[in-house]
Amino acid sequence: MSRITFRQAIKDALVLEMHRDESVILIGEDIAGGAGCDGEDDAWGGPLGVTKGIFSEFGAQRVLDTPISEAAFTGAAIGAAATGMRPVVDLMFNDFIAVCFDQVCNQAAKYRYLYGGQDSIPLVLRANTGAGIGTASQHSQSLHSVFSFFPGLKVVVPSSAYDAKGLLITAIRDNDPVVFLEHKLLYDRVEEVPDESYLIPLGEANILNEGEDITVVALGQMVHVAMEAAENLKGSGVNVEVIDPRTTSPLDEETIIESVEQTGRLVIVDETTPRCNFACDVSALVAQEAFGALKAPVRMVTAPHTPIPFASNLERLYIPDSFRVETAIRETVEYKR
Amino acid sequence: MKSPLSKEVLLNAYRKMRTIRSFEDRMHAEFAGGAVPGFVHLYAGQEASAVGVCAHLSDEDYLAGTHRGHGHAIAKGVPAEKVLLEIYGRADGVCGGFAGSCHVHDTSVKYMGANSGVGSGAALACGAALTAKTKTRDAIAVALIGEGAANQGVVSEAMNLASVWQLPVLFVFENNGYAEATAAYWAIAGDLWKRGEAFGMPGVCVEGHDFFAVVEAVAPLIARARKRQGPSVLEVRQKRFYGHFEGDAQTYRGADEVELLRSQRDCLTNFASTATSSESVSRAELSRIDVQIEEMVESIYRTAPEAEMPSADRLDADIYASDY
Amino acid sequence: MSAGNGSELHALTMPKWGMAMTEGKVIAWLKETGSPVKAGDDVFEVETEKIVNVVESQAEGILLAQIAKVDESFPVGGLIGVIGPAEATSEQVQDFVSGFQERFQEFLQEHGTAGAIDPSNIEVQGKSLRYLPLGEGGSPKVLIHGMGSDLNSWLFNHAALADTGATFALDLPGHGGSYKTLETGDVAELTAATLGFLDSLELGRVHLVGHSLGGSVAAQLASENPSRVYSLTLISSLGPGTRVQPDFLESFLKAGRRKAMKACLTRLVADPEMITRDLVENVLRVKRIEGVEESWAKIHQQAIVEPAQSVDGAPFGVLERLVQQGTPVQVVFGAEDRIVSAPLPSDLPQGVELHLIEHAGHIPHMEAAAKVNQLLLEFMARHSEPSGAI
Repeated sequence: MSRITFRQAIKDALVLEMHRDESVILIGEDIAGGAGCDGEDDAWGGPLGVTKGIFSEFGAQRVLDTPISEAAFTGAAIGAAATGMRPVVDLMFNDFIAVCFDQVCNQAAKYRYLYGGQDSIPLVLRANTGAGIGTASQHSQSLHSVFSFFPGLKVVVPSSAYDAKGLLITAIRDNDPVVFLEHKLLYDRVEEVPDESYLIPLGEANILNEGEDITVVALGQMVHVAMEAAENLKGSGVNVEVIDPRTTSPLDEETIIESVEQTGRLVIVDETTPRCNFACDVSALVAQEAFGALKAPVRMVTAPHTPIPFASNLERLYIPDSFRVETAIRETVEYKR
Repeated sequence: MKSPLSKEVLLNAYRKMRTIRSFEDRMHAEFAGGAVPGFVHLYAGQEASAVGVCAHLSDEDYLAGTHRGHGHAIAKGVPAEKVLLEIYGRADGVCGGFAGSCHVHDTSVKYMGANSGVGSGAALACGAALTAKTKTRDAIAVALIGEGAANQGVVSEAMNLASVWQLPVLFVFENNGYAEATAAYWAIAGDLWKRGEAFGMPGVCVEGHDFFAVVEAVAPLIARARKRQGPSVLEVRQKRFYGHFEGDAQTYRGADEVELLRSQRDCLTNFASTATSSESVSRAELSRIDVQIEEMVESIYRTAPEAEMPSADRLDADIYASDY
Repeated sequence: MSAGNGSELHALTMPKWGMAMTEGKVIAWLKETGSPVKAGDDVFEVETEKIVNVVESQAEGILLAQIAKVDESFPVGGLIGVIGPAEATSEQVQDFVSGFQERFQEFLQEHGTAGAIDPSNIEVQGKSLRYLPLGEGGSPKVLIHGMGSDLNSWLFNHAALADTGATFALDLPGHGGSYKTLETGDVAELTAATLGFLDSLELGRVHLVGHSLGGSVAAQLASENPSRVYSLTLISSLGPGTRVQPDFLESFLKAGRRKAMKACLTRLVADPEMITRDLVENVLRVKRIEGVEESWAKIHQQAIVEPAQSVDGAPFGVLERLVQQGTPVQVVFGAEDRIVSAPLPSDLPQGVELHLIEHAGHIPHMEAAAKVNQLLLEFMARHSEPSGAI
C-alpha cells in the first residue's frame, strides 16, 4: 500500500499492464515528449505529466509519440486494436473528440457490430475533462454524456486514485473501446492505493456515504462536492446517501434505483450543461423505474447552458459547488405537495 | 514476350476480375429490378486495380478500403456468395447481415472492410501496418481509397503519420474519374500521386485498365514496405462503368463515354488480348473460366434473395466483446 | 492508561480500535450520572472515521461523572468518565480527574497522540508477511485471523490484550498485506509460515489465539511444537462436534459486488447493523487484488473443505493430541454462529474449556469484544507458566 496521487495511480496502472502484456502500447501527442529534439527524451509524459518516465522504461516501440493528427492516430489505434494490439491513446483534452469524432463514434464504436462480431476493439482512449483551472471553453468540457450516447463505447469516470487504478487496469483488459475520463482537479488528490494490480468491474457504483433521507448521484470531481454537501448537512440531521456510478456506460442502474426506493428523493450533480446530459439520463431512468417511491421531484444540479468562461470569478459561478448542492438537497427534503 | 507471372497467377487474376465483372453487371440488373436494399456502389471497370494490387498480397497482409467494396472484397479472397448474401442483408452474409454493401468485411482474409468513412481506411490501414511491423517479419497493409476521398483530412494525416512512424503501408488512390458527380481533376489540386512526395514517400501513377501495368507498377512499392523501407503512394487512373451509386442517372457524364470505355478500356478484354498474344494463357482456358463464373454467378443470384434473414434476437448481439 | 493511583475510582477512557484510530467522538451516554454500572455494561457510544460501537465498563460502581459531552471528540486514552463507589466525595472525584489529566498530558507530550501505529512487514523464508505489534513485555501473544480477513479482525481486542504484554496480530499468507501467491494453500503451508514468523521475531514461546481458519493453523502449530505454546484459544474454529454451513464460503468466494458481499457478510454476525459500508468495501478491496481470489480458493479447498471431509483430519485429531501433550486449550463460540455451529461440551476432549457467547455469531471477538477479551486475559493469566513437561 502507498499513499499516491490520482496521477501516479494512473501511471501505475499503465506500467503494470505494459509489463503484463506486451501488446499494450501508448499512443499520443507528447506522451513521451522530446521526439526529435536536442534536449530531454521523455520531456513531458503527456500534457499533465501522467506518463512521464514510461518511455524511459519501455522505449519507442511501446510508447509512440504522434504528430498533431487526432484523426489519423486514433484511426490507426483502432486499426491496430482490430489486428491484435491493445493501444492506450492519450487524447489530451476530451474536447478534442471533435477532431476525431468519426474515428471514435463511427469507427471504433461500431466496428464490432457493423462487421457482424468478427472483431473486437480493445482500445482505451484517455482524456482529461472538466473545468476549474482556467483552460476556457475549448479545453474544459465534461463530455461523458456524449460518449455514453454511443452504443459500442464504454465510459469510465473515476473520482479517486484508488478507483482510477483499478478501473484503468480493467479498461485495458476489456476488449471493447473504453473512454477513460480524468477530471483535471483530481490529479493531485492523494489516497492509499495497493501496490499490486487489482480490478474494479465496470458498471458497479460505489456508495461513499450511506443515508436514509436522500440519494445524491455524482460523477468525477462532483463526487467530492457532493460529499462536502453531505458532511455539511450532517449537523442538520439530513442523512445523505452519496452514489458514485464510476462508469456511465455501462451504468449501475440497480444501485441507483434501489437507493431511491429507500430514500424517495434524488439529486444528481453533473458538471455539464443542463441539456442532454448524464443527469437527465438518470432522471429519466428513475422516473420510469422508481416513480412510485419518489416523495419529491428529481433535482439536477448542473452548470448553466453556456460554454465555460475563462475569468476565474465566472468559472467559479459555472461549476456546481457544495452550497448549490446543499440547497438542492434541503429543498428536496423539505418538499411537500 | 511471355509474362513473368506464372500461368496459375494469371488465371487466378483473370478469374477474380471476371468474377467481379459478372457479379457487378448482374447486381446492376437486379438493383434496377428493385430487389436490392440500401445503397450499392459498383466496381465494374476498375477490376485491374484491386486484382493487380492483391496479386502481391497474401492472407497475412491487410487491406482496408472505401465504400465501393465488392471488388476489393473479392480480390482479397472473400467468397462472392458471402458478399452477395451480405448485400441482401442475410444471416449468412459475410457480416451476418449487419453491414450491407458499403461495409463488407472479412477478418479471416484480413479484409478490414468497406467503410462509409470514405477516407477512414487510410488511418485504419496505418494501424494494421503498425501491428504488422510489430508482430510480423514482412506483412504489410494496403489502403484502397477513392480519389475523392483522398481529399479528406484524415488521409493526409494518415500519410504524414505513416511517414513519421515509417509504417509498412501502401496508399492506393483509385482515381475512377468521378467523386460522386464531380470530375476528379476538378476536385484535386495538383496530382494525387505527387502528394506522397510532400510526405517524404515515393509516388507512382499507372493506367488502371491494364492489369499487367498495375501489377508491375505496384511491385516495387510493396517490396519497399515488406523490407520496412516505408510507405508509398500509387495512383491508379481508370474510369468506373456504372454510376456513383446504383440509381445514379449519371447525367454528368459525356454521351458516349461509357460505351467508349467498354469498347476500348475494358481491363478484361485487354488482359485477354495481352495474355493470349504473349501465349501466357490460351483463349480456351479463359473461356472455360468465363463459363464457370457465369454459372456460379447465376447460381448465387438465384439463392441469395431467398436466404434466411438474421434472427430477431441478433438485434443487440455483438455490440461488445466483453461483458456489459 | 488506567486509574493506577490506588483509589477505588476507575477511569472510563477512549478505547483504541485498530491501528489507525487516533481519536473518537462520544455520540451518546448510555448511563446517567449516578446510575449503577456493572462490569460489561454498555456505558457510552463512540463514533470513529470507520466505525460506531459501544464501550463497556470494566469496573463496577456508580457512574460518578460524565467528563465527555455528547459530540465531543477525544484522543485515544482520553478521560471520558469516572466510575466508583457511591460514597466517593466530589472532592475525591475532582482530585482523581486532575491527577489523570496531568498524567495523560505528560503521556501525550512524551508519546505524541496515542498515535496511529502502522503495521510492519517481515521477511519469512524469502516472502513478506505483514504484522502489527503492540505492547511490550510479558508472555507474548499471537493473534491469527480467519479466512478472507486480516489483522484488523482484532480491532477491538488488540489494544486490550497489549495492555498486559506484547501482542502480535499477523496477516496469513494470501491475506492483508502479506504475500499473495500460495503453493497449495493447505494448513501445513499456513502453519509453516506462522512458525517462520515466530522464529523471525525470536518469539520463543507464545499464547496463540486463532479465529476460524486461524484456529486450525494455531492448533496445528501447537500440536507440532508444544514447547512453543503457553496456551491456545480457538474462536469459532472447525473441530469435533462442529457443523459447517458449506455454501457460505462458496458465496463469499463468488461475491464480487457490493450487494452480494454485504448479504454474505451479514450471515457472519448476530446483529446485521455491524456490517457497515466500510467493512464491505474493505473486504472487496482485498478481493480485487490480483491473485487473492485464486489463493482464497486454494485455501478454501485445501485448508477447509478437505480437512472437514476427512475423519481424522487436522481439526479433529489435533484437539486430542493437544490435550495429551498438556497444552491448555479453550474453545470459544458465538451462540448464534450460523456458519460453524458450536459443539457441545461433550464433543470436546476432557480438559478443553468451552465458552458460548450470547448474542454473537461467527465473529464473537468483534461482536462481544469485552467478554472475549476477558476470557482471553483470564485464560492466559492462568497459563503463563509452562504446564506439562515436553
